[in-house]
Amino acid sequence: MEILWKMEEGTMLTKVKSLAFHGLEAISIDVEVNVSKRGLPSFDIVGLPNKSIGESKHRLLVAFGNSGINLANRKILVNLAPADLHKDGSFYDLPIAVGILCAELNIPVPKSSVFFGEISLDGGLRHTPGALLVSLFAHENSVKNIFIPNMCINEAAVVRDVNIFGVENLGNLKNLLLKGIDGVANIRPNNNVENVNNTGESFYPFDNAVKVEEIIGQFYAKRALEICAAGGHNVLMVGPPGVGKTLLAKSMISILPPLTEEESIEVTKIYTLLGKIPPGGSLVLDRPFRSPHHTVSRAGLLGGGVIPFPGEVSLAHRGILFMDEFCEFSSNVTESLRQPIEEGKVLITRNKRVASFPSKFTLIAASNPCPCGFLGHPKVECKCTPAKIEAYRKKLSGPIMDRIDLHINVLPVNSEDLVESNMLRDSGGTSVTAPTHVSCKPVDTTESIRDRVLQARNVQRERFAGDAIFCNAEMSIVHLKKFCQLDKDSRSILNTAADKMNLSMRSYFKIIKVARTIADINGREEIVYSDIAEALQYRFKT
Amino acid sequence: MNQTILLKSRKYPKLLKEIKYPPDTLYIRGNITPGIFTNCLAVVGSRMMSPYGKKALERIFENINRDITIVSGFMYGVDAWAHTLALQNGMRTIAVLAGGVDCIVPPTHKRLYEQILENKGLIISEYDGNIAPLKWSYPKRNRIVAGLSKAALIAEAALHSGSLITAELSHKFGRKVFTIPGSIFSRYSRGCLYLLNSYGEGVYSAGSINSFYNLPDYVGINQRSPNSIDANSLGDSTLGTKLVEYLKNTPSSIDELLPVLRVSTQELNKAVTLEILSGNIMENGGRYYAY
Repeated sequence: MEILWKMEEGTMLTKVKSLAFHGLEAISIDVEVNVSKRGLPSFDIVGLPNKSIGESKHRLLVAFGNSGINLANRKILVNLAPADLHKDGSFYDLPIAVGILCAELNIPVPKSSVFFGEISLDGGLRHTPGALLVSLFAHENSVKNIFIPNMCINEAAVVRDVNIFGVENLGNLKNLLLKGIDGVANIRPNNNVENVNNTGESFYPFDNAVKVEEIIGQFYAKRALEICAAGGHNVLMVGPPGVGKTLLAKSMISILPPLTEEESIEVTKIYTLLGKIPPGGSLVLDRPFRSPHHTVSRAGLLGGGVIPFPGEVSLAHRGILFMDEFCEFSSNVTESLRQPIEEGKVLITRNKRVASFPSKFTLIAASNPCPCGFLGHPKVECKCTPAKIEAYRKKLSGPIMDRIDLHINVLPVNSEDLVESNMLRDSGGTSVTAPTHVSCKPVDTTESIRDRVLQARNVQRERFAGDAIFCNAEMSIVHLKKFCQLDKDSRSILNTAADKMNLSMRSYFKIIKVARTIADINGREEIVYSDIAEALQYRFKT
Repeated sequence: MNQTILLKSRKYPKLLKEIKYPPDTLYIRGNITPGIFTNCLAVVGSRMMSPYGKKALERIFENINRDITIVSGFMYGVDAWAHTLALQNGMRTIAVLAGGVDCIVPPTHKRLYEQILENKGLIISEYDGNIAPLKWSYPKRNRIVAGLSKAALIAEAALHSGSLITAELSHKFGRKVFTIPGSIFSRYSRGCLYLLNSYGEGVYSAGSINSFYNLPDYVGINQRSPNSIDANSLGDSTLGTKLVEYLKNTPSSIDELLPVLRVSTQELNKAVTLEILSGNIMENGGRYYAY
């Protein structure tokens, strides 16, 4: 039997570690490279590679040639093991190149190392999506070193206990391998994590967030958004076109508390998988704001594909999913939102494996009041028939509405207010503020609202410390009984409202939840009648 | 279950017999209680009922004599509201359908259909079964509404609307036409204005309607529902009073009220809720009304 294991003369077999992504999960992959000097020259890759991996051989042959390494007259076979798992991505270029180099130079492959990166025809390494997932994989599997493209080191360096080697090109790689890892001074593990975190640079275009004070009027809606941000509630805005629903939704980003480091890593994992982290970038520091178009498919919203990719709900993780024209979304799309909202994650089953993507987002739904959009408009008359309005509204009463706690009507801003705010600007006012006559109190700024939101969130974190939930919106009936005791006045208001406003049992509980958040904003331990009275203004009006 | 009344039958409503083309057969659902056809009042109006129209009808129904039978067309808006108010006030009501007597159009009114039958009311049509209504069958239906009634009350109507057809027919049949005046800004009060300028009589309460039927005004006990709360007992009553006074003349949204009342959004939200619960104001599409 031993004869079978004997290597053919002139043949070298190397094994290099790499990985494959299935959802956000990284699976260890062995890249086996067999380089033989005998036989007809060839280059084959097996192990269920997809097209981009299959083309790797053409890239590599040219890249090696352009780097002064001649691979002519070689019979090369690459096997990606386990062989029954579909592999995708262009990052196997580097592990294959390392396998070939080590075989050619007859040197050992660095131990406890993972290789990851796409190579361009000039032999240089390109920016490759997923670097953070590689360093996290290394961290979880006690792998000491990772070799990734130089442009990705900022992103991977978020994980502190992994040695990161930024590879610039094949020549550079050859030197590195020849000298051995320990002898290399100029390529070092990237340890400037502090710098990475402190840049405060927002490289993903979330910076179009609108400040609350930039929106004229709409104080009712702004207050509602403050409550949403404070309690993690989902909200539905109904109003005619052009009144500022989108603007209001965008301003929500600015009043949410900033991402914690943990949350930031969660978000970055999703964005890096889709290649949305630019070269040199590291963590996503701003809360995402996603607004899928209403023609989005179910796979587009939830994620899907043979090798699962995250959808809009996961891209909105820890941020905001804004669904404008909510009634125009197809109903199977809106209905499919239920599980992600309830469980905070999406499960996609493919090929014996289940991929899980997180999806903890705040939903802001916006809708016109009727198909033409002008129902209830003070100046423009609505041209819809009652039957059409009825059919349109039906979409708003589906089970998805159970998950929406606040319902607000957004009406057009008074033209006088608009004129006045323009005048303020013309007369040299530093910023566009709401008209002075609107309130005797100073106008709420983004900062002041965010402070209140933060404080309310802190109160909630302490309160729910032992309950495995984080905000008021997540409270179940058990929590309501525990944390939301009502006094006599509150009860009497709520019961009258249940009677007069035809509140269902469900809306009844929602109002208590919202009142709890209002009390938290006001820094009160007990819910008082005025909290309930305010909460009733954001009830569902059918 | 359905009754069929032929034109020659003794049971056929007398008033309906008098019109030019009475239906040969009436298909009726529900039990015909004695006197149900004696004092019929047609209450019709626009499908797009405004909060004003809603409140105005409520006011008329406060003192309307409870022996009057409310006849209407079972459509959205004023029709449905008239049926509902009749039911709420313990009056009998007749819904005249444009389609077959079993065909509930609009289907969302299924509950109303059942309630009418449960409360000594009738569903009437000149068609049997499940025949769906067609465009032309609505004006045809209107002649039955007008024909059954001694008088018609037009609540909100646009020019060239079905409600005006009913009014026209009532007038032609020699019946009385009442109308509720509306705002000059609304499309849905042009029809009423036309009626006021021609043969219609304007009303602001049920007084003149009752005397037309030779019936006394209904004097109800102004009951408060047991759960009702008094806004003044809680919170800032002066704010509430100011709020209601302002809304009486100018229906407004919260954002429009803020500069007028000069309080915080939070305070105003609270005050508005309390006034709604006390029944002083009402809400529709983000605007608040006090009538």
